[in-house]
Amino acid sequence: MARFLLLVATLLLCPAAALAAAPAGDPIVVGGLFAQSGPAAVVGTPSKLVAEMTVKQINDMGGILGRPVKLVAYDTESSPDVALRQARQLVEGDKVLAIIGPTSTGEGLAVKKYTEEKHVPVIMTVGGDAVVAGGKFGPYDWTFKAPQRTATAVAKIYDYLKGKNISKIAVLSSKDAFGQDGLTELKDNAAKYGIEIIAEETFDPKGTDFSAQAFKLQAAKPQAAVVWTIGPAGSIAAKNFAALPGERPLLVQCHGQPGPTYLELAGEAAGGTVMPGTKLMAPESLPDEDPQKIVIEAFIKAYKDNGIQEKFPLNTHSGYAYDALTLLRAGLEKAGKAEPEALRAALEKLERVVGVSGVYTMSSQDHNGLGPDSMIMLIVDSNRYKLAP
Amino acid sequence: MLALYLAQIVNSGLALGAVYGVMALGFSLIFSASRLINFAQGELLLLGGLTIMSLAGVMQLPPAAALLAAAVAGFVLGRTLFSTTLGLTLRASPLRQLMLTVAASLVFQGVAILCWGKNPLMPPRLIPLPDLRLGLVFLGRDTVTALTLAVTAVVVLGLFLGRTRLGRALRATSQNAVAARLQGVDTVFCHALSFALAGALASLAALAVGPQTGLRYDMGLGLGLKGFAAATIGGYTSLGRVFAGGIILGLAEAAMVLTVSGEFKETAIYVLITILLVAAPREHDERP
Repeated sequence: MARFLLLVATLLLCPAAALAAAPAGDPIVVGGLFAQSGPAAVVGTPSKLVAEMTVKQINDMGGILGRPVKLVAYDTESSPDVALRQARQLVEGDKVLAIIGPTSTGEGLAVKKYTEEKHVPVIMTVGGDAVVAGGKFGPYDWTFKAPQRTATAVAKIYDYLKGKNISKIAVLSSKDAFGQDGLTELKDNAAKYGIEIIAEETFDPKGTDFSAQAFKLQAAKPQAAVVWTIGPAGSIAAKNFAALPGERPLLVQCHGQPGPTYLELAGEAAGGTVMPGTKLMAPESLPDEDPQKIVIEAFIKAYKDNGIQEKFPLNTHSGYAYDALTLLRAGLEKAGKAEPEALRAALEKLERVVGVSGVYTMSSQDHNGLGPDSMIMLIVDSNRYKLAP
Repeated sequence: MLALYLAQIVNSGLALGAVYGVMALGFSLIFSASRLINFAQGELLLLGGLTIMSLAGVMQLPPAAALLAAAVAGFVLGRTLFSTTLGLTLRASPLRQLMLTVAASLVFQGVAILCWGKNPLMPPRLIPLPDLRLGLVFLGRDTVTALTLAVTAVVVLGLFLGRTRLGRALRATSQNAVAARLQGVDTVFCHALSFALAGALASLAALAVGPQTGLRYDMGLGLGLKGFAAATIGGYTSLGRVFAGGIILGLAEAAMVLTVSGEFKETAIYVLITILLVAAPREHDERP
């Protein structure tokens, strides 16, 4: 099976597959929502570039169902209101078949309510689980998400801590949807792993100093402190923890942090911090039989060849837009026609689709399809990410 | 436990307070010389810090060179601010002059976005001082750096104003511009000098605050307002009192964050400032 997948992946990614017939007919219009400005722009802007790169690759290889793909992308400005407005424009104005994005969890929740009503398949690139959690967050029949669930990252972290005999932790989370999502999952799963959360604090992700929170958490004497936020706030938290006197807890960042920006902003304070990340962060550590290895290597090469690496050095989020489009293509091919309901049904039944962030197997309950084995634990050592021992 | 909390308040309060104090000195210099509140003070810090960061990116900057470069960059920025605001409207109404500094602050912010982008940047620590432990009191390296820079700036500024001819001219201008002019002091030059010095101070503050919190295009207003508040608490006239105003503000803020919550920090601080300003004894030497 793995061998077959390898072959398929090679065929799909190899530019020589240009043997495929040039796509013809009406294009399949796909909407893109990316935060190209505002706090989530560090993730959103490269996501858009990756999406454009992937669409070009798909079209070079004969498009989907023989038809070319056309991407219509808008900037959500990292704002839920703007994201919703752009989603309306995509659905009602541009008549898209499906949407990929948006970038942040808050935007995702705003968009989802509308697209569920309108029956538009959306493959999100947001970090938080709320969009595919159901329950109080509403149904998610038409909503999928490419990045690992929060719960998956939590499981990865708790597994690691358990292996290190750590049972008392403190949690520092941002007040936005992403941070609260992390806090909820950390609390809900702690008992299962024999872990006790002995202190928790929150902070404003736009703040510039969280030393008071770090100090209060340290005073509770946890063995590890878990920080849950995306963007520069994580680096500031790392600096604040590093500046405390006395014995410091092991600092764990969430799966939103791995990337060069964290290293740059946190500087030497980043040293020794651990975090779960996608395999994209340490491709050299992958064994040859890992089905993702070849996909990741090809992705990294394309990322560099397209000049995205220069502007936005590779980080843990880089592959999400590629994965969203890969899922979309797999779904459409499985459905056999470019029609929303058929696409939705096919997406739910996808099995072992190899992406950059993991191998996806969906079900009607699981609209993400990735498990903890799709992640690796990373440690920062002399300003580089390495596989955590 | 209480001792730990107090130590933490002292540590982060002094780091913040030293920066507020230096900003307050900038406000006071300009206010004394020109009776003008410079709303672009925070942006002087921002642009000064960003310039030094870029400079440190292309060349090696030992501490002494970093200090000098920061002072020069800030001096030039402050002088530029003068020629684009007060220098153009020397005879205009104070409100126009004030509005010009508000405009300048937004223009400076735009320049920062254009040249350095909207993402926060973390400048390197150019003044590498170590942590300091004095019994129970622990001062982190950022606090030590901020305090050292600030105290040095106050002392040097004090010596300049008290002991040099130029400093005396500046003080004469601030006490009575007409009389100073009659005595042959170039008061316009003194106005310009006060802006340039305020710029240099802001730039030095950037060396302290940059590596702590990072530099972001929208940080100027918050820091500037705190400096303005500290200068008001300190009364604008005495260097020592103005600087102490900054330190008090920093300590109060640190105490609020730890005991109340980060969310209401700004509200609590400004309520405190209101109480202080209403209740504090009035200055006897109020100037005409």
